[in-house]
Amino acid sequence: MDMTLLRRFGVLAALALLLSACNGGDGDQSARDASPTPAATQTAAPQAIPTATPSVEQQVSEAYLHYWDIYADAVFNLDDSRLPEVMTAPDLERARQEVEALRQRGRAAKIVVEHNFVILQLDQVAGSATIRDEYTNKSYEVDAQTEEMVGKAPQGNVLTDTYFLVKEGGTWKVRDGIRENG
Amino acid sequence: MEGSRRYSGKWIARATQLALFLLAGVALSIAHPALADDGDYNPRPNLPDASVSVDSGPDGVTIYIAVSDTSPGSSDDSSSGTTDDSGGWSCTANVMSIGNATRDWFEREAPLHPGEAPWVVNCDNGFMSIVWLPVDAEPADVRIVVVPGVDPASMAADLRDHVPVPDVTVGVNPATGLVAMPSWFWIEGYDGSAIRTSDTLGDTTVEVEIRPTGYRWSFGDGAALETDSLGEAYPDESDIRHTYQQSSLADGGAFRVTVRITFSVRYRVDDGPWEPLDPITRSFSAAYRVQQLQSILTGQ
Repeated sequence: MDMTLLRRFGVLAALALLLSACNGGDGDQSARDASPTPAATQTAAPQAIPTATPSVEQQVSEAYLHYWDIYADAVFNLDDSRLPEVMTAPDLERARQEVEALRQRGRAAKIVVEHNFVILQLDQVAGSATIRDEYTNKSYEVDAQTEEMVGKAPQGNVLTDTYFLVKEGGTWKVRDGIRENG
Repeated sequence: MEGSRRYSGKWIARATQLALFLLAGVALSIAHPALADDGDYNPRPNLPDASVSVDSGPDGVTIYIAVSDTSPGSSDDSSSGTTDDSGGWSCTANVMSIGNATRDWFEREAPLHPGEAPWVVNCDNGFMSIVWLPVDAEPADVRIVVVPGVDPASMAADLRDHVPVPDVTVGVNPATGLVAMPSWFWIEGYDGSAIRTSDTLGDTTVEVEIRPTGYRWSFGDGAALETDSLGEAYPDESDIRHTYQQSSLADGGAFRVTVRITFSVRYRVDDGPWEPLDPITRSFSAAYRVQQLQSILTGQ
């Protein structure tokens, strides 16, 4: 790997850990540093953003994966009743529409994904987190009645989604998302 | 000798029956609209779109963010932010810090981007993304351009994914196949010509063209054929043919014959130069019954 790159990130990582330690490791400062900057379309000097404690990151990661489990069950069983456990408006409504659209076509979806995500932002105090997932997708449609695959086995593609999570009633939920096109 | 003649007579009768079968066989066109696509499924298909691209040049690096009107924050937050040309999207880019939460990810991704470093794009409406920029890029050299409302590349991709491919059907003769006898196949309902579609948003018109580049036939018994031909409809002699070696009885009564069409894709904006897009494929299937004829020897 490029030594310049290593040096650059070695310094940044060390700085991040130092700042994190100074901050008590609670990650609050992280959110403040990563909060919106009013300057329009300007770049800023590189800055180290301390990360939250592993336990909070773990919570967010687990919540995110749980969201996928519940979502996968919903589109496979065409049952959106558990979606509110892991999603909130406006994304909740989108997912419900997705289930309904499948139902109307007599199809369901088998979700097969391999995640590759990173937590971009985490603010414990505000209860917000941003996850970017560049995942391999091999999901496919099935007949809603027979649950048999429709068409051929998918070859797989890579999708890049960013999800915005909020902590609602003590539970991290997906509030919104956006898909990056290549 | 007499017995032999009787056998020959039966054989001739069966051959005649077979010939009639073939000659009288009307092209079987079996539409399977349920298989109008491959069945691939993209999770969360109704998420808002955005695209982030990087243009590195001698004058520095430009990060383009193209967003749709429904992108998170683009409606609610724009009024409270700046009112510049970016429609309220106010974004910054910073070298990404590698901490506990990102170390594993960085170690996975860095080898895929030699000579580049990850930067986080952070917009004041909550949108965030990661771009990989040259490792020697300096903040002063990095510019961000937000293009709200219209994203030609996204429009093109969306058009491509919804391009009206004709309702292709699989033609086959004879209507019921026979073991050891060649069956002829062809594509009906589509002549292989380029298909264009377009959409206009605001002052921007995006045109997408798809053109077939190949056809892959799977005959359901494990055999396959790659061709650039549509085949010929019966009674013409099709160059797409397959001889089954066994009946379809053990395959649920019918083989699933599938033709997978690969289309090259290109698009242009406002009659500008054509730009390539990733190809697409569409599959069409038909159930095809194949029987085993059995000769019956009689003692008469």
